[in-house]
Amino acid sequence: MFNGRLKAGFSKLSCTSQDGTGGVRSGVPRALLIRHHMERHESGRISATLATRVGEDADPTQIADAIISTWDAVNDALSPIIGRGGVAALYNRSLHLTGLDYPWLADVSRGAQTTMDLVGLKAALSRQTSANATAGGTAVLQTFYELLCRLVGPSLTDRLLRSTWAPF
Amino acid sequence: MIPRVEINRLATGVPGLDQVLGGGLPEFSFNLIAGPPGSGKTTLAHQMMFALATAERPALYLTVLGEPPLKMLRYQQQFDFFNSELINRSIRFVNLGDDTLAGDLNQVLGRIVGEVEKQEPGLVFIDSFRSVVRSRIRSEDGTDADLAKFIQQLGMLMTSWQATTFLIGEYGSGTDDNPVFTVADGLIWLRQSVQRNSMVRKMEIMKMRGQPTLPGLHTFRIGTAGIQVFAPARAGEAPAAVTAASSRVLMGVPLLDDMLGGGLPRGYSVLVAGPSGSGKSILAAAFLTEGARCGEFGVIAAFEQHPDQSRNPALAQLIESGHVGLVDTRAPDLSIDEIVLLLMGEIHRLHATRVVIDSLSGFELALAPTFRDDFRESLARLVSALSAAGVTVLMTSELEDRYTDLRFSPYGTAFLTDAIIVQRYIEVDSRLRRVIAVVKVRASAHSDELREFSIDGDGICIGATLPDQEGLLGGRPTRKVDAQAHLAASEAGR
Repeated sequence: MFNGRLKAGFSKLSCTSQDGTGGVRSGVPRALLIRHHMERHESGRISATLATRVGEDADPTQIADAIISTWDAVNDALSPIIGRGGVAALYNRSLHLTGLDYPWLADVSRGAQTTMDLVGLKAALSRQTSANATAGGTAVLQTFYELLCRLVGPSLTDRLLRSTWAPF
Repeated sequence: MIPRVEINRLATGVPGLDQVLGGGLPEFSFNLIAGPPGSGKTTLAHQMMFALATAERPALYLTVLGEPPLKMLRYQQQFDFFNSELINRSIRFVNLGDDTLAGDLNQVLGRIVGEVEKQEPGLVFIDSFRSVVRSRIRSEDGTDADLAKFIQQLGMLMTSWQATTFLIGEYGSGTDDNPVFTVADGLIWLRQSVQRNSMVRKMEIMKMRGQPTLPGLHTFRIGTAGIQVFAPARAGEAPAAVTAASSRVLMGVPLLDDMLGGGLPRGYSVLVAGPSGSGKSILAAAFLTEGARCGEFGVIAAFEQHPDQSRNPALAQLIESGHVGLVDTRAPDLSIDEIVLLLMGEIHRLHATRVVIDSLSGFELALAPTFRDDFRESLARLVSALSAAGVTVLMTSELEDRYTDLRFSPYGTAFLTDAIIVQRYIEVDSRLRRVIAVVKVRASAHSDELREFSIDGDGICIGATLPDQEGLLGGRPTRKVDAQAHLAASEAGR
């Protein structure tokens, strides 16, 4: 099912998408392609960081807490450098992209673009199963990391986010 | 005697800038880097920051509004001086955007104080300062009292914190009535001078308290290594040690050495002037080839034919073997200072004693239009810089063949050189023939003959004079008639 969507995305991207009226269609196909082109080498580190913050057999609320505290650490590391608005913009973009794979995340980012709504994220994560919460929560962090890498490169991203990966 | 405070000068890490500043940047100075958008202010700030930031002297880079910090990091990474290892160690980036948007200068000052107290930096950058100023909520009576106070307090603060400070701003011109110009110790102004189709980057140190700087506009370029400033060549440098070899230099064309009185005196500059195709570049190549034969190294700045081509295989071979250095003159919009810098670089690298500039006409065309007006002055600087280096210089110059006046240089610069060799075309028996003469050699005897010469596969071959012709320099010489024989013939004819 997933690959079918991906293939459709690829074919629509060979040239500028046109709808029937001659305008250019934007949105889903391009985002999908970008999403799946990003490197995934950091997911191990993110998962490990989360694992240190929660034990095994954690319930969704505990997982949600761990993910939110990771986001707090990200905010602490980055907002002095790029401003609260800068972090919020990247966060909301990450939510939007991850929401394509995890529809229950898509609702969190709707509306707010200049602020970082961690309350909504926590609520959405708590409502899922442990496995889903871990998968979805990790995916958003992963996407955020990859976005930052695409903008300023992995070396600088690692430097800037160094404090977030350190275990408590 | 009361000892003076010693002002430590910081090495900025920007090639040429320390010289323009008069030895380096004064420590603890409060500087403004100003200029229109795109002139290189942020790049200059970053280049200095990465060169100067250390653990003992950490840097704090405060971004305000304007370029988003992520973008700035993305673009500045493209330069070689960017070292991400230093970030969050001796270099910290902090964004003040949120506080600035609130519009309260006191809040912004408070935030700056807070960050400075936390990091204890030795270097502080505020980029852009203008956006701090612009975003403030003006007082109701519209005066700038708040702004003046803010700048004063900022200046005092930075002084007491012993931080060398840089404010970066898009200011139009230095004549605005802005309190920051008075408070600042140094004003570095960057410009992009556009004339016709060319753009030349220039910087000016409009003010620097505490030391004399080099006045005027100095050209610079931005490349992958960052900014490079072309400071004017130092005048009066001690000439390079002249070897104990003969005090005359051979030209590579045998009879020409005789005509010069035994060769060209070492360290002289000679102008070879003549119309197109008269053999100037060939003479220049022979000069360098002879040098290589004598074990000397040379440098050529070729503005006309590129020596790599098959036109002059001997010269191309010398360049390839490293006996002759080639100064790359294909960069657009050159300035004289840049050419002097490139030439001096090659001269020092090879310990060269012979330099060729082929040709001055091509050189003038390669310059940016903004420099062409000052060509004579610049040429004088070039010649004196080269002679201070102790090298023997040969410059070719294209001269339109004009048979009505006797000129040797279209720029009125013939007086600058120590020697002049002229080549001309003459017409004899329906053929275009070439003559060569030595017009002047300072402080030396030389031949006054106008000799015919030809060019063959081996180069220039100087022949004999043409004693049976007169009016050679007029272009159309006439056969000299023997005055006695004519008189006798006319007598007999009566």
